[in-house]
Amino acid sequence: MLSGDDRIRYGRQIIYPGFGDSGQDKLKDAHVLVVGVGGLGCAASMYLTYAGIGHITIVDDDSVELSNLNRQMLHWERDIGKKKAVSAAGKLRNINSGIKITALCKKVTEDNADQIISGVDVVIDGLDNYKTRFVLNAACVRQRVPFIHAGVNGLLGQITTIIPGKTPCLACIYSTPPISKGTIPVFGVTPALIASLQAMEATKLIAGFGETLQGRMLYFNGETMEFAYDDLVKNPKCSVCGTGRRNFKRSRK
Amino acid sequence: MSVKVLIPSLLHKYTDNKEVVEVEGTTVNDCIDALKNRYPELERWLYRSGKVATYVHIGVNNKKASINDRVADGDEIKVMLATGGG
Repeated sequence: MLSGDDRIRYGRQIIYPGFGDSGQDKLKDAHVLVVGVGGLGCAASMYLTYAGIGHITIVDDDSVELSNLNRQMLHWERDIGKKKAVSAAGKLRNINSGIKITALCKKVTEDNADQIISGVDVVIDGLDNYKTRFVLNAACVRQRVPFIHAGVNGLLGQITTIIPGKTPCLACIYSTPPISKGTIPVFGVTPALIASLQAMEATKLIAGFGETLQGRMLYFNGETMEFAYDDLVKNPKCSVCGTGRRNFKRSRK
Repeated sequence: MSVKVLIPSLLHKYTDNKEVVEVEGTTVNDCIDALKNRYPELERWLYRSGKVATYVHIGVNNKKASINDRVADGDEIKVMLATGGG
């Protein structure tokens, strides 16, 4: 139920045709998990906080370093050395005290992924490696939680929305986890742009309007200022969501 | 040595809508270079500073491969973009 303050605070989005009080109510009732609060996760969690998502959980086991500060907007100079989840949570609470922010200083692993995503409505990929993305993707498929995947490199970014049981999953797209050698270059504006789109996808999914990037990968090439789409195809033999999957060790909840 | 390169749909507009292009080469890198030489506009997505970009994910005959791997006649190279940073 929206309060009077909610109606004022979120008024500019509530008046969007087809969104209204009911759309804002759905955001207020939602629980979104942001895995990784680096370049993508900072920007995504900020916009989700501004939008009024009722509960945001952020997960990251890393600590803030000077080299993060060209892009990770929630971490400031005074935060160097602090856990990223703690640093980010403090800023998010200051942006919006009307929502719940949970900070988990953990690394997502095969052993804890199911527990971490249990009960959330949407998972946002703010990770910096495909190995962990594959762990998260598999957990999302097991628990049928939408997973908004994104990645960046330099001025190039990509994003797709994975709906388990409906769209190709990450393991359909890449049969093996892509490996990045060395330090990945990145300008701050690239994750900021792609993460804004992740927050937009989450907002539409939760409120139930518009079209999302289901079954297609959107690429942005900032060097040439081009957007392009790749059609994604489900792999019937996929090792995660197809006939190639192992018998689940964990039962689906 | 003729090798097939499978083109992702986002790049079809640069390959005259061809989904598969046959090229000559003895390594994956040779084949991608040959593809780019035939369709120079691919460079804007697949290359950075004159080299195949590190975010280009390569598979040969449905198995993960590296840019310097050798290829044989009839092999299929799959090219995908995989930006991994966060």
